[in-house]
Amino acid sequence: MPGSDLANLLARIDFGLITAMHIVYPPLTIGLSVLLLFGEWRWVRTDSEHWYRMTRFFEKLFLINFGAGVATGVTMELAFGILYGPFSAAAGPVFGRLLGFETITAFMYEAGFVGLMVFGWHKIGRRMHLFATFNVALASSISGFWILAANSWMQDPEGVAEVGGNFFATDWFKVIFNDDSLTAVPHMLIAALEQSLVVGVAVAAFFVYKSRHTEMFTKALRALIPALVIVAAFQIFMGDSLGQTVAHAQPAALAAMEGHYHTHNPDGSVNTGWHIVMWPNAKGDGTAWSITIPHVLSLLETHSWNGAVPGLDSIPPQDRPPVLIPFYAFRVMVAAGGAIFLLSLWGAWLLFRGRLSVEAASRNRWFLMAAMVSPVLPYIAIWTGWWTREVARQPWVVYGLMRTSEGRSPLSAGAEIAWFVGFAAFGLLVMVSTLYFILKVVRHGPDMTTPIPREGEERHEQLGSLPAVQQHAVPGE
Amino acid sequence: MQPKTHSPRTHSPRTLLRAFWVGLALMFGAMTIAAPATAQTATAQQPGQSAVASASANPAEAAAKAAARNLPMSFTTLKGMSSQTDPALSAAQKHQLLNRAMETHNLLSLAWALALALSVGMYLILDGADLGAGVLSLFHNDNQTRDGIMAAMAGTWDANETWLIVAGGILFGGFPLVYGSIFHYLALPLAILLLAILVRAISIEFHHHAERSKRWWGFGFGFGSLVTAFGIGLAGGAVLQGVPLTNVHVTYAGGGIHRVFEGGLFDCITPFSLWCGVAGVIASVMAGALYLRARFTLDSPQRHIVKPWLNVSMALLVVSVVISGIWMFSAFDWVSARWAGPFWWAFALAGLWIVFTVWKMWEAAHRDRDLESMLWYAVATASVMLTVGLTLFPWLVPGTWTIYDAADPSLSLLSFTLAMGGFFPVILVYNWYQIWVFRARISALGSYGAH
Repeated sequence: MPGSDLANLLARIDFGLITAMHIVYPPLTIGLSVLLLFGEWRWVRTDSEHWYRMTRFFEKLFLINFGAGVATGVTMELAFGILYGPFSAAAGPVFGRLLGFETITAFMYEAGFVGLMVFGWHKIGRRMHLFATFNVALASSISGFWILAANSWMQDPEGVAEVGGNFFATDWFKVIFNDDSLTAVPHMLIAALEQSLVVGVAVAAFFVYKSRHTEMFTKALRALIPALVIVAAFQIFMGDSLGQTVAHAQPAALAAMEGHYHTHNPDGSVNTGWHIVMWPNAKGDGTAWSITIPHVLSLLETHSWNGAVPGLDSIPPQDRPPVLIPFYAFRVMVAAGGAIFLLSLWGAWLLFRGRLSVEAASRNRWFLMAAMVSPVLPYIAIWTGWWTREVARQPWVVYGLMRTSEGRSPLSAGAEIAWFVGFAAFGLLVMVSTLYFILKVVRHGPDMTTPIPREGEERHEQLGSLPAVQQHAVPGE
Repeated sequence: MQPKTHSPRTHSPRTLLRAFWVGLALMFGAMTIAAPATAQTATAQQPGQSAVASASANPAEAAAKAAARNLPMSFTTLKGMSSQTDPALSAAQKHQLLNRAMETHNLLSLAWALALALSVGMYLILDGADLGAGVLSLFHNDNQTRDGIMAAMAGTWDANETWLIVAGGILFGGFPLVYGSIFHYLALPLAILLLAILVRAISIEFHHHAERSKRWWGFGFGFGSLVTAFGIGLAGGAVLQGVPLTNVHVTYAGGGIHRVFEGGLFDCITPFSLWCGVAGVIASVMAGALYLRARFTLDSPQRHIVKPWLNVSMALLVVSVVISGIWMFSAFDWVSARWAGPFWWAFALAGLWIVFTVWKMWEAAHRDRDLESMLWYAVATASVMLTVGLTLFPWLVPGTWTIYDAADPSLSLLSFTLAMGGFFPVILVYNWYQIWVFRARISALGSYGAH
């Protein structure tokens, strides 16, 4: 195994940082683009000013988020080669190809239509603009699909041959639609939708709470909350399906996620206990303490009272993943997902009782406050979900076929630390400024005065003119 | 004063739709043309590739099967098999099969290399100007000028930058062996470059939204542009001077020999690569000056401010191109072998042509035909790239990777056809559309400034 354990750990942390600072943005981009499409579609259909104002308002948030996503995404694209050169070379014919497909069939596609969507208002027809928005939503979902397919292949590397130190695809269908991707792709795309719905509810709740544009934003609440109930419930189901897939395809990962050290108890009976919380012992081969419910693990994983679930002791010591991070990250993710579902039920109950009417909505102080802070939940859930997934795959970079220590570039520990410091600082800068400007746009509120595009009044002669904001910056007035 | 070159243009409402349909038609047209070839490859690929899977198990049988069906097999399969004694095939048969597979592989490798060159070239031409404009904003950082400079590129800078991402995608997807071995060598310049791109992107993005912090974002934009231009030049120079790779025996994925960079972080920093960084900044400043002059109306102050920059940077650029040429000729075997080789006259002609394009660019710029000078700038950049490319050929990384060795051995016609026939035309149509839009914006901006 080349390289010291410390250097391997640093290489993992470095790439973890790059991915963690990127994954903050794309899910909201994907989800918001779908919401923008919905809002604009309602506007085109009903001609209601509210939907138009709301779409334009959320479009501003979308743009800030999109820019940050592209900036951190470029970093990630190059970081594979810099930090994981041998992995990139070995898996490139499969993994690199999938990312290449993403670049060409999704990223370029999306970037083109985003430009049209932003600069096209008042300049192209409403239907044409709706078509542009539709393409943005479609392209960003396709992008998510490719990326998840590539990652799923690392989790469940099917359909490849290993020749001369390289992986080659023998069956692209199996590579792309492996067991893991079939559940992981929808899990992530739904997470994206769920996140944007929560953000949408929070923004709407803010305005209702402050009694600004109440009529418009209660309309948003009444549309978003039922959608959130369905999406959050479906996400719990999808998460469970992914859990089943992992149990099936990566027993070591499942054992780590559940802190399941022993297949059998010391007395020979099957270990069926499920830990609510636990802490590993000093040697890392069992729990120091735990709160455990018997039979639950067997019920969850085998749907039987006493079914045996392979524990970490059934896996060779050099192939065992770390336990602490997958165990707690998984629980935090589940808790966050559950909390979102409960919040959506709370909202649905208020809606059902008629308390979200324009007159009464702002009186639900507790609900609105809870909704305003709730966006932190999906972000935590996405982060912890990815930590669970990626850490539980260790020590493999391509599960069962290539070790992380074999895949990393032999950078020195000093270089790895310098990388971490540099990108942590700039990643934080991006994150803080993105949040700052998103909050600023929200505080400023929607633009209620500029004219609404009407059919047949497109000003094509200004197709190339700058948006109003930027024109003020031009000197010589 | 009546601007001559930038008369306000009106656009027909259907132009956009037309652009879309043209793109779509091109895409389907290309697919229709490519479909028979694609279908053929798709069916032929399956047995060929499953032969890869079983190559280690029973290569002779697989080869016999494929030979019996007269199917093209992948380059790897054949290369692996030809090294083993194979009673099922005669030497002549083996030779013929290998040749055929190699031809296909080489053709595809070359096609992907051209696609890579196209993306890098588009990036250098389009974003080079934006970077240079950013560098200039460092020296003219009064609010009016800097805001004007940033507004001038508002709608297009991100579209220009997408070419860098496309180049990265092609490199990873088509040349994973280069991507995996060279990027580690370039870790330092790439890391700094990425940080600079990051700073630049958020600075432009947030400059519009900020009020009190506008100044800081403006500075971040300028500084990020400077470091990006320098870093790209440095990375390019570091690759041109050759990458020392070591053969390492790996045990994963069937085991084999991989070429890995085992040197230090600072190995890529040499006088030559540093010089290329400086030349990169000079080139981008010139491009930026040209671009800004083309973006503002004839009577706007920005246009006059950048005039001396244009003159100085253009002179410096000519000098630096000459220095780079002499340096490369005297330091690198692959350059001297080509330039002093049997085709020396072709390179001499190319040199004359580049001088001619620079002269045309200079002439057009000084007669206020800015768009024309921008086009000559694009032609000059493309010509320099083509000359370097022809000098390099068949190397992708001199002395280390030829285009053919570096390409993914399993490259398939299917994915190439999809990408090139399908999506590249669409992307190019978009780019054309966007440039067209931003050309029109000159007049809008100009008429605004002229009030």
